[in-house]
Amino acid sequence: MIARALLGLALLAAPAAARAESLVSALSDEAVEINSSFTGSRIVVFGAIEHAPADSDDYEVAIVVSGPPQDIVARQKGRVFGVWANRDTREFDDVPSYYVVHFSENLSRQASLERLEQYRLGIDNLPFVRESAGNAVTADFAEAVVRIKNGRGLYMERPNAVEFLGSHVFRTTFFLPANVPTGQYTVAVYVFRNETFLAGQTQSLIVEKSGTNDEIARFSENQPLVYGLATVALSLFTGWLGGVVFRRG
Amino acid sequence: MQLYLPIAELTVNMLIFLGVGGAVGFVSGLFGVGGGFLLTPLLIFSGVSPAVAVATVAPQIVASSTSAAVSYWRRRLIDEKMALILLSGGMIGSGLGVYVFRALRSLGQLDLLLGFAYVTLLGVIGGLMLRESVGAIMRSRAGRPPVGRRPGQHNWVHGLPLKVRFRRSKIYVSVLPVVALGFGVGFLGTVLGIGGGFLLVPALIYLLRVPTTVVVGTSLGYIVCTMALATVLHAVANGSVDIVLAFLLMIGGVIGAQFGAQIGQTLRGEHLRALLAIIVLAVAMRFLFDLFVAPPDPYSIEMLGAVA
Repeated sequence: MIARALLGLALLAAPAAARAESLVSALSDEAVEINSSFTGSRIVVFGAIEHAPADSDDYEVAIVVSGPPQDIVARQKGRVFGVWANRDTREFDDVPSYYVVHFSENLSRQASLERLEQYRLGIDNLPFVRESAGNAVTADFAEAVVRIKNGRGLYMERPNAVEFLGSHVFRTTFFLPANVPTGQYTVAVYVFRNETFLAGQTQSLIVEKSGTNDEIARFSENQPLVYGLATVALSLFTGWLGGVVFRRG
Repeated sequence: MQLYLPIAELTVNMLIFLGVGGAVGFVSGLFGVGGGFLLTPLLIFSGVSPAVAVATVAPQIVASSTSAAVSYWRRRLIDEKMALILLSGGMIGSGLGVYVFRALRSLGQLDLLLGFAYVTLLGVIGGLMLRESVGAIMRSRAGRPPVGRRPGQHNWVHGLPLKVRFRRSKIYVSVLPVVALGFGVGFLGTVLGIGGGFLLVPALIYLLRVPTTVVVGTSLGYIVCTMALATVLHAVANGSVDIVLAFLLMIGGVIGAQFGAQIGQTLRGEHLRALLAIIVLAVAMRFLFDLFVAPPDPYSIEMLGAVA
C-alpha cells in the first residue's frame, strides 16, 4: 500500500513530457506457498519498457519487494548489577516485515542512490528510519532493527542486481528466505532515466502457509482450546503407545 | 529432512529435533527424570523462541511421563488422594504461571527470569545432589553402610493443622503443605517449561516423609495432569504450542527413554545421581554464562502481538 501511494506521488511529480514510455512487468508467481518442506522461495520479476524511442537504451531500474507492515519492539540489553538484562526499549509501528530493493547497475553509484531519496527508495528512506533520525538513541534502535532484519535476510539493498536482457527488457530474482513472514507483499518496479522517474508499476504477491501448516496455524488461532486438548490427546496416546510397543519388544 | 514448524514459524532439520528428543529421552530414562529442564534450554539454544519452547515442552513431558505413570498406576503405586490434593494446588499454580509468563513476555523480561530461575534452581538442586551422591560414593568406598532415613522422625510440617490420612502413603499429615507443594511445582513448571519431578520427589520424601515406593508414581501422575493443563493454558493464552515440534520431540523421547532405562539398570544409584548432578550443573552454568557475559548483539527485536 505504501509503495503504491509513493508510486502515485512519483507519477504526479514526473514531468508530463517524460511520460511517453510505459512499463509492463510480471512476476514468476503471484503466490508463495509455505508447505511442510519450505526452505525459501525465488521470485523472478520481469519488465519491459514500451513506447521507448529507438535510440534510447540508458534506462535505470529499481525494484522493491516489501512485506506486510508489523509493529515491532526493539530492546537493548545493558548491565544491571553485573547481569545483562533488557533495559531500554523503543516501539516502531508499520515496519515492513520484508524490504528488499534491487538496483540496475547504472543506478548503483552512491550519488545516484542519494538523488533517489525523493522517491523514498532504499532502507534509509523507510519511514521508521527517517522518523528516528532526529534522536540519536532512537536512531540506534532503528539501525539495530535494520541490522537484525538484514541478518535474517529480510532487509537488503542489492546494487547491480537488475539485469538488462536487451535495452528495454530486464529481469531480477528475489529470494524469500525460510523465515519469511506471511501476508500480502507488494512488488514495485520503478524506471528512471538520468535519475528522473519515467514509469512504474506495482503488483501484489501473497505469501501464505499452505496445506497442513495452514490448517494447524488456523486451528491454533481459531480454536485454541480444542487445539490444546488435541495436543494433550496426542501426547497421551503417543506416551501410552510407546509404553505398549516397548514392553512387548 | 527439512520441516517447517507452523507455530514456531521456523524451518528446521527434522532429524536434529528427533535427535534432541531422543537424547533428552535417553537422559530421562537413565535417571528417571522428566527431562524438561534439559529440553527447554536446548530448544531455546537452538533458535526456538522461549515462548514456543516452554509451551511445547509441556505436551512432550505429558507423553514421556504417561507410559511410566500408567505402569505405576497398574501396580497400585500411586497415592491417588495425595495426587489429587497436590493437583488442586497445581491447577492454581499453573494458571498463575501462564498469567505471569504472559506478563513477563510483554515486559520483555522473560529471558532474564528464565535465566535467573534456571541458574538458581538447577544450581541448588545440582549442587545438593552432587554433594549427596559424592558422599555416598565415598562412604561405600570406605566400606561403611549407607546412612538410612529414619521413617518415624517428625519435622515442623507435622505440626500443621487440617490433618488428613493418606492410606497408601501410610502418613497422617496436614493438607496445607501438600497444596502448597502442588502450587509451587505447578507454577514453576508452567513458567519454566519443566515437569518439576526433580523438585517434587525430594520434597515429598524429605518434607512429607512419603515412602519412596509411592513417591515416583504419585509425582508422575501429578506431572501428567499439570503439564496437560499447562499445554491447554499455553495454547489458549499464548497460542505458542507447536504440535508438530511437540510430536517430533515425543517420538525421539519415547524411543530414547527405553535405551536410557536399560542402561540405567546397569549403573549404581549414587553414580547415576552424581552424573545427573553434573548435567544439571552444566545447564545451570550455560545460563549463568548468558547472564554475565556480554551478548554478541545487545539489541533484539520482537513483533508485537505476534505468536513467536
